[in-house]
Amino acid sequence: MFLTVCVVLSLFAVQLLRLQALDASAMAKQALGARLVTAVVPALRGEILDSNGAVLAASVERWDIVVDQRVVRQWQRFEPDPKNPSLTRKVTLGVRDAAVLLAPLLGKSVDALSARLSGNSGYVVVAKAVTPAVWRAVNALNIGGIDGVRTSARVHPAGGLAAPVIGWFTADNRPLGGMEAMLNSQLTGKDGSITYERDPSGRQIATGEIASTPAVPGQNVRLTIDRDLQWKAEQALGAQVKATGALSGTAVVIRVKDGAILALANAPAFDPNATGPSLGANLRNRALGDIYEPGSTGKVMTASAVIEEGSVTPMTVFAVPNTLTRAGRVFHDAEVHPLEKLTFAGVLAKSSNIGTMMAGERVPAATIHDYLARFGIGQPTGLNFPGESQGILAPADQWSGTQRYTVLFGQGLSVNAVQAASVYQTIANGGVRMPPSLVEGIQRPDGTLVPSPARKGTRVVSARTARMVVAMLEGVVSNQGTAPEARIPGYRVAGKTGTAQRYDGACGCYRGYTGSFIGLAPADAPQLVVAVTLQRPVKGYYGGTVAAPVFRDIMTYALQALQIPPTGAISPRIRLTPVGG
Amino acid sequence: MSQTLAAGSGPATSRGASAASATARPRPRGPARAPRPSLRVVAAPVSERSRSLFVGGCLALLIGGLLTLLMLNIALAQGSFRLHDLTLASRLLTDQAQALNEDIAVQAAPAQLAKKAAALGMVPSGSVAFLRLSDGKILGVATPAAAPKAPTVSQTTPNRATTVSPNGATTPNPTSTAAATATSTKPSPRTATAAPTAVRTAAPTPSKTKR
Repeated sequence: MFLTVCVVLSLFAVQLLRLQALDASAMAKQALGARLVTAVVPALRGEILDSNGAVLAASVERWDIVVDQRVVRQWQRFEPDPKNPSLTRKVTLGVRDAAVLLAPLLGKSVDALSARLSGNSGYVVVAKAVTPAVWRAVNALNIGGIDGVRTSARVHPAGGLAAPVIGWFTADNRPLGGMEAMLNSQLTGKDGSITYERDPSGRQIATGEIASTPAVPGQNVRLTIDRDLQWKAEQALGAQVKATGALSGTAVVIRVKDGAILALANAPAFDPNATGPSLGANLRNRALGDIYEPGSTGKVMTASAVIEEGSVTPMTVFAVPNTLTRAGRVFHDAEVHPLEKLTFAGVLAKSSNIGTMMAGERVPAATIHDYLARFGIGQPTGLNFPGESQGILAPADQWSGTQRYTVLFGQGLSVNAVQAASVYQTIANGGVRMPPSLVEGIQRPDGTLVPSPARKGTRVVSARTARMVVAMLEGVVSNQGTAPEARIPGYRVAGKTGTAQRYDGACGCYRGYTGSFIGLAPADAPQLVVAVTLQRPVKGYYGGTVAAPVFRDIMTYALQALQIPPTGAISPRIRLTPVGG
Repeated sequence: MSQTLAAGSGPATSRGASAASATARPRPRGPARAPRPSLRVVAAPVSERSRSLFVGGCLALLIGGLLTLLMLNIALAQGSFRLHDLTLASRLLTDQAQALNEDIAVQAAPAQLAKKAAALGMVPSGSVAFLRLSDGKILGVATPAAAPKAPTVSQTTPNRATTVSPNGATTPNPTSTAAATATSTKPSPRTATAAPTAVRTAAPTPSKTKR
């Protein structure tokens, strides 16, 4: 008896020795490992704000509800015994009961949920990106096999507003376009982590080990876009694209003094909250990614060049014939007319191709090319916007015989809408071209702004030339010009229509038109440039009738919203026809 | 220990004894050198009492320490529970604040504001005018706004203008815009008076349909 006790006790002693002395550290580690948990603290992506700090895109906490299908089908819980209420009994529930409980919270039908919950998979996402409140309610149900995964979602409080500027993501949440891709490094934060000991109920143990690295949220970016103006531009443009049956349209609003883009509207655009293959064609920023031949709006560059070179003044008289043969091709104006005498201002106001050719051929082709390049044609805008196209401007020595003449009236070269607007910014800014910009700076958490580096302007033409060109452009919106529709009562408005033959990639030919109007106001102290372009409108196609009204709507609102009062000056009467002519 | 040492080899070690015992002894040695037993009698009760005191003190200290530790642990655990609850409450409030901010941002979006303004019978202003406070002068041209039916101009003008060449189109256009402003100025008082009544009658109906 005594011996047995001795043996047993010594066995205990040996085991105790083994546990305490030999395996102690390993076992302690194992125990700690069971209590220790490391959780990733996800960093939220920075916000994209408009120029006034209103949120255009923000990241918020969301939860994916996931299920282990093998666990949920044998889900059990204790319920009060109906026979003896003081006792509880184990009740086996399952997929159906879980679905009934979850359906109202997740806003799905019981049948759809049941289908999702049943199977043999260990990990199936039941609902994506639900709000924290919904997740908390789901978690409180304590359904076996149901778990939550913390994620974040990009929300756009203003809906599809400025979506082509803000950008979009791939299906696996990589930024693919717009500011989201362009400023990804600034917007992306750094995930943190937290390691702590917890008890079986998930509570942190007070005296336990704890180590944490805080998450660093992404930086907030402030754009030059004005949310209200952007909305107005999108509304006016969208309505006109619909009304004219156009394929697409763009509207650009640029602040003259610094080249800041205040609105960049695309139609049709896309809804960033929707997904699907139908979005594909619209997942781009047409104003920067699509190029087209500008047509008559390009004539201001010719006008600036010939005036700057001293070959022509606004009062130079041209006898404009109905047709003109150059490089073996017969050129026409938009409509048949007898030989008419026009001043150069009249040529521009009536948008005569032949008059522009007669003025432009007084200056060598290489010089014209230089001016076009300095106006930014065929050059990157400097925005570095993803998917941007810099347009096409062939070197002067590669111009075909007719191209030397077509570039004078804006055909045979192509631009994007921002480049086209930037030309008018240059003229409006006294001949100094400010590279367009979209990012105002980084907004610190305390609300202060770290501005983007200042950009340097380049002089393209003299202030005197710019003034003359603006004065001529005022003639365009006169009763005798092509765009009286662009007039805004009380203001001096200058601008130019464009009705260009549109190159259709589908047939490799010219088919349909590009109708545009680019204008500035107030003409005697320009502050804003608005450029409206409609691609292939079918109910009307002249720039003066399809685009000018949109210009007027947007400019009227912009002058109001940005509180730009009229200067009170009266437009000088510019002679469009020679004295006695 | 020093006592037994002193008793065993008393005088022999009086010199070699530790400095501690030397300083402890001088008093009893001073008054009477001969009666040694009296030393024992005095020493015994003192050591007995101090020992029990010492043991009692130790026990009290031990129990006190344990109790304090227990209280501390309880406090810590309680703090941990409280922290857990408060963290939960804080997360809940943060979530609520975030949800409310999201709601505000959605309601403040231009599209929503425009829709609500239209529901109240408001129309966008078609003209720009400023009142200069310094001299009371009106800058720009103010015209009463008319209720627009989507894009007003594009619907009327293109069919007229497209039939004519751009040069010819310039002549009918001013008349058409003049006609447009003429007609827009006339009904505007009517729409202006109609709008408030529409609001008054419209106001109760949504509340009815809601509840």
